Amino acid sequence: MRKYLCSLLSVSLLLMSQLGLSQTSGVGLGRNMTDEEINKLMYTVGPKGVELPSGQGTAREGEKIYTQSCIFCHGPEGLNGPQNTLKGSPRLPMPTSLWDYIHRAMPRSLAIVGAQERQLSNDETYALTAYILYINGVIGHDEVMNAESLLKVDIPMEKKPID
Amino acid sequence: MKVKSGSRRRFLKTGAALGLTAGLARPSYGQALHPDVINVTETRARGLLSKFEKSERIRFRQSNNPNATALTPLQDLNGIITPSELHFVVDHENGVLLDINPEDYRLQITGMVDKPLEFTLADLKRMPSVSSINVLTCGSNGSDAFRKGAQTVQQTHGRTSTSEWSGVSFKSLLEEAGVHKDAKWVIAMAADPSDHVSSFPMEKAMDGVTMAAYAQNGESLRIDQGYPVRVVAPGYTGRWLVKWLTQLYVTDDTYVTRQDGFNMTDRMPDGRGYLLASEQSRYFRLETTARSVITFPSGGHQLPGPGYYEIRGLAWTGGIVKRVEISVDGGETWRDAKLQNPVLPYCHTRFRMDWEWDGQERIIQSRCTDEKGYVQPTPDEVASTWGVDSSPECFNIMGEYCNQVPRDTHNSFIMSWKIAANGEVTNPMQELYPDGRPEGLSHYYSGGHAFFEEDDH
Repeated sequence: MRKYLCSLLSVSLLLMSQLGLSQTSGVGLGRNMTDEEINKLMYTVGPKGVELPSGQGTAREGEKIYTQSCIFCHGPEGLNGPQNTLKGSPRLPMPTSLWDYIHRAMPRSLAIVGAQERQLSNDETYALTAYILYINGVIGHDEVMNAESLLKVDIPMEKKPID
Repeated sequence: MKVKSGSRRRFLKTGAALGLTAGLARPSYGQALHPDVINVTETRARGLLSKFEKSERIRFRQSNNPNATALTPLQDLNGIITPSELHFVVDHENGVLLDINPEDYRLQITGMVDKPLEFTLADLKRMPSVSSINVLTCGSNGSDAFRKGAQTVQQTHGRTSTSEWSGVSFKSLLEEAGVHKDAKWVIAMAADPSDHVSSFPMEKAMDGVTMAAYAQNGESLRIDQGYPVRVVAPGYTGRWLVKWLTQLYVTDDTYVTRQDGFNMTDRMPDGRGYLLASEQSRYFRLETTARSVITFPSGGHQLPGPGYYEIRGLAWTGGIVKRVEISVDGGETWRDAKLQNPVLPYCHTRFRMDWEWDGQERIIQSRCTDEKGYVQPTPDEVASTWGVDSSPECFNIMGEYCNQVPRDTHNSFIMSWKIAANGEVTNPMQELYPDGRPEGLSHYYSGGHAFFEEDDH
């Protein structure tokens, strides 16, 4: 996905500057980044998901990771942990925001559990995203989340009625 | 304030009646000065404060191990500049500060640009520079006013400071890289591993003042202000002003990161859930709204007795302060305070008012009016008018027409201080609001560190 993004960018950049569709001015400082460097960077993931890498996971797989890495802070099934609740009424509509945050910021560094951000693989991130969507009743236990299917997930922002 | 000669004579007469000396009553101090000395045997590389000066930052309440959270001692300060080492810090990093080697530092400009570029710190310092005196405020600033134990203005409002910030404008950096004409947002990403990724509308990014700042009050940033480079976007709430900036990622879409969600979603008043504010960036609540607070007399001060005092405080807004008024009778009547010149946009404005305290119990308040004519509301007024509809007509969610770009009204309510007859100054907010913070206020402060929020039962 990243390679595709990169070549797409390169081609469109060339076309853009040929067609005079961009504004370049300046004093000539800063070093041009190489394609390899651009590829390696972590980018925030947006609602169109162009930054989403390859990989996949289900809630069932995510549950296993959750029990090892997340439960200490977020509690069983996302409730009653010392840190933020993960189950309840949604605050943000985009599943990509969730994937993005888990990927770059979880698990949060805490001396007591030896946690460290950005150690989760892409598969693990998809699996954990799936799990959180699952415990909130948005997707099924075995629904595969990947770069395409995640974009089709709709998180309803209406508060759930209390039984 | 001009004192009429008649009233001055009356005051003198009263003074005489109280057995004080003729002329304006002044205390007498006696004693000649016999100070300690410091022998200077070599150049003192950095000026230090007197050992008699104890003003410092403190932490107030406990959450998420925020050892780096530090509140500015507003009750002790003068003018508008916050000394760099007293600048507030809100810690989202569980007590970890990044200690970046400036040689290793890099800033990347990526995304919808002709030339993705990487800058060293030396490169940034060579670029054309900008400078701006700006206030930074945490969006939650003021929320602790209702909290038990919050006594001083440091504890209630200490998450705001003003510095002169210098650096390279986003505009210079983006022009260097060549931003695409159809790009709409610039996303600032940071080296801190947490939730600090914030989106800037292109108009803001290109305003020529929003900057990658590498200097604070003349020298490099303090470590806890994001050394060596942070974002400073004048008027925007603190959460946007990412520290340890590493990347500007240019996009054509509204990303709504976890960070952004605070000010891009609103809780619906009937409790139905949340709504994402308009796609049009100006309908997101990104700029701070009109705020002010009296810093003297404020909680913890002890007035020595009736007589002359200069009431002082700070006012600020996402635009520019137009007016500050003070009430000494709990909000019944108001008088204009004087504003310290120059009054700068997106900046603390110092206000002052001459006042004769008559020794009676008093509730004192300040309220700010900004350039849009928006008047700082009481807690009840904020509670009743929160919510912004995303329709172009800008009706708020209560169905009331709001003919203005919504700003972040979180906790911008009028603050009260109580002066007791014995001169003790305290925070009366718990007493004035025994049921706690007005409910609507809590709703409007839709801040919650959550993707999914626990349902109330």
